[in-house]
Amino acid sequence: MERSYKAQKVIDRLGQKLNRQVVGSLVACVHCGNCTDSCHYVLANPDDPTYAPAWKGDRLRKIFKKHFDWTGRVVPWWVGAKSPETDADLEELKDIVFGKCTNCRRCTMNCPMGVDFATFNRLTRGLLVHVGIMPEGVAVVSKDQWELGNQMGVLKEDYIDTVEWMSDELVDEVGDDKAAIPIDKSDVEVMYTINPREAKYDPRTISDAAKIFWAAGESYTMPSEGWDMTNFGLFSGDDELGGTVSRRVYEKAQALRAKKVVISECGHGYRSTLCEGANWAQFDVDFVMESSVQTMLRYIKEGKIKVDKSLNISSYTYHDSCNFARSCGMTEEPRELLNLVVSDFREMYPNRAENYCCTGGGGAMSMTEYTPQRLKSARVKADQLKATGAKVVVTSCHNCVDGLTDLIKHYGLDMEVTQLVNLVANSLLVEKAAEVPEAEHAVSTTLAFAGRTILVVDDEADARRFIATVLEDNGATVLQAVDGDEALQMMRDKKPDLVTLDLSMPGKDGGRVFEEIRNDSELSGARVCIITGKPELRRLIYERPVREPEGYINKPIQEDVLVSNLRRILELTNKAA
Amino acid sequence: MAEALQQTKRSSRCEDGTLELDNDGFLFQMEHWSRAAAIELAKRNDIGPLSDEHWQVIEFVHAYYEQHRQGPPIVRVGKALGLSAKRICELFPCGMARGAYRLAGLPRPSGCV
Repeated sequence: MERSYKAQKVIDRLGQKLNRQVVGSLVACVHCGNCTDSCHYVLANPDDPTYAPAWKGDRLRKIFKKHFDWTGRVVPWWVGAKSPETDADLEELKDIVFGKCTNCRRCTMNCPMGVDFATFNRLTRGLLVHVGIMPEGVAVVSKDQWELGNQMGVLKEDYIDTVEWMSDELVDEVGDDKAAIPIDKSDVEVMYTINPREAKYDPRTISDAAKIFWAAGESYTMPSEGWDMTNFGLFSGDDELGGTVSRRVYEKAQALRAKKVVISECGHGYRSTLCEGANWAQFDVDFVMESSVQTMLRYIKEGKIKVDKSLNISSYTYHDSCNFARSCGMTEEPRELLNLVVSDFREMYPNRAENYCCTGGGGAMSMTEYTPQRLKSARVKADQLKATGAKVVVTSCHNCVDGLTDLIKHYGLDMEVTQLVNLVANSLLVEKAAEVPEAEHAVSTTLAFAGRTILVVDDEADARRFIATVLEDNGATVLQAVDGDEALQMMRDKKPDLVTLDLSMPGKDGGRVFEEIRNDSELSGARVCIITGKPELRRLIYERPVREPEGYINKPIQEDVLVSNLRRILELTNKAA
Repeated sequence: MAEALQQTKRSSRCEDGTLELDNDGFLFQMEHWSRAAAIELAKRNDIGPLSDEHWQVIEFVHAYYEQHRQGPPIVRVGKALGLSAKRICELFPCGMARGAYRLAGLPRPSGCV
């Protein structure tokens, strides 16, 4: 029988799309099975081998072996080389790559061979989309994003009306005309881009973000087009769509001469716009891009906005989005921010890059035909959520918001879902926010740490000496301790104004020392700044049931970062006291 | 092909056979929508009891879809009925799409919602 036209096109297209990363992943799999237990689909369907990442990967591997790898030419029977022959074969492939994987990449983290299964699952989706084989939902969304510039078919006038509506509501709420949301203002610091879901269904995140920008006195704008930072190209595997969508954002930012593009809380949008888009679009990006999580955290750290965590009164846990945490390494900033705006934070296990998928990722929310198996696979996520005992799950991804909402209803959990922007806006103290206190001007003319005693705790002599020298140059009296016990003793004897604490030390690690400080009735009020060369070790701090530290600094330490951070801690906590 | 696809979406049927829903809990055929259906859907989605404000939103959404073959963005609802975004979200805690659209008998909207 002759091979179908579409099947041949898929094979040809694969040849054009192969690159070293993909080939490496295709040949490296040794079928050891480590990926199996890491996949939420497998955990819900332990007796069905067709959910195992290695098995799913073999569907593309077979085509690759048959047509592009020498093993398939020499020993095709041994390596299982096989071509798709009919359109029905392609339909079957579609049900696997779209319906049995959310591209969450958790299996990749657990692969000893470094096989990036999600990357070639995405590639296979792209091959099918190229010949028009895809779930109906994916086709509709892609069409909207191609034709209307956003994935939910929001018309330009509806979008503008929505922003103006939120702008009016905000001005009324805060009683300040300056809170109005600017559209298409040029030469601004920040161009703020959003997920169309915010415009179409729940614009409260728009007014919350605007409130924060206003309180921080930020020069910002929302664009009239190029405002959709989501990108269905990431889900459908269509690099052309991916490039077209991200180019719209980049070109608008350049046209407005914005210095920075801030991406609202959306996992795949963040990854597409920041990490993948410039490559798809072949675009030279000459401005900075960051997540709104980083923006909000910076505002608080720089003292541009003030927050009162007692205004968020529930218990909270944090769900790491696969694209945000696993693919882009954004794990600490959201936790740091969350701990600044809520007082009852409960870690979820496993977490960060090891977290389980919300089960709505990779465009799964738009493929209604696979909903039953999606909800079935959410069992592990539901168990994970339940074990936290928290009433609210916070996430920095709109897709996760809907995925989690669905599974919470399905499994009857008593939980709500929210995002960081809502919590930050809710805890905002607006009266004091915009003004710069006079004390800060006064300090800048004298030495930053004049009259202050600072204890430096670090087992490495070089690091200790460096920090001590910088602080002494800025007027501080510096004490030094080489381990936790010495540090605790010195704190009792000398009562320093601030302690810098290294996390990885022999003997008592910094986390334990920190907990002892917080639990000691005499020392619990001390200001502590954690210093670590391994940001992932920060969890040693977050997982402890005590009040969080006043600040964090990463190694290698930069002199200006050290000075400005410690100064901020001393000044902010002074005012609070 | 299209028919097979439609079949995969048709999954659950209400006990009395009056409500046919898709996999995501949206009404399978909008023609079967009625006020009784909306009340039943509200019960299933923990919304209500339905007030006059709820009904205003539901009826507006239903009529908007019949005219535009698309669900209304929340701004159209708010402006037409003089409701704030906050108020609409209070009326339908699971959101416009999962709340108002569902109760108004609309098919599942596209996109990652």
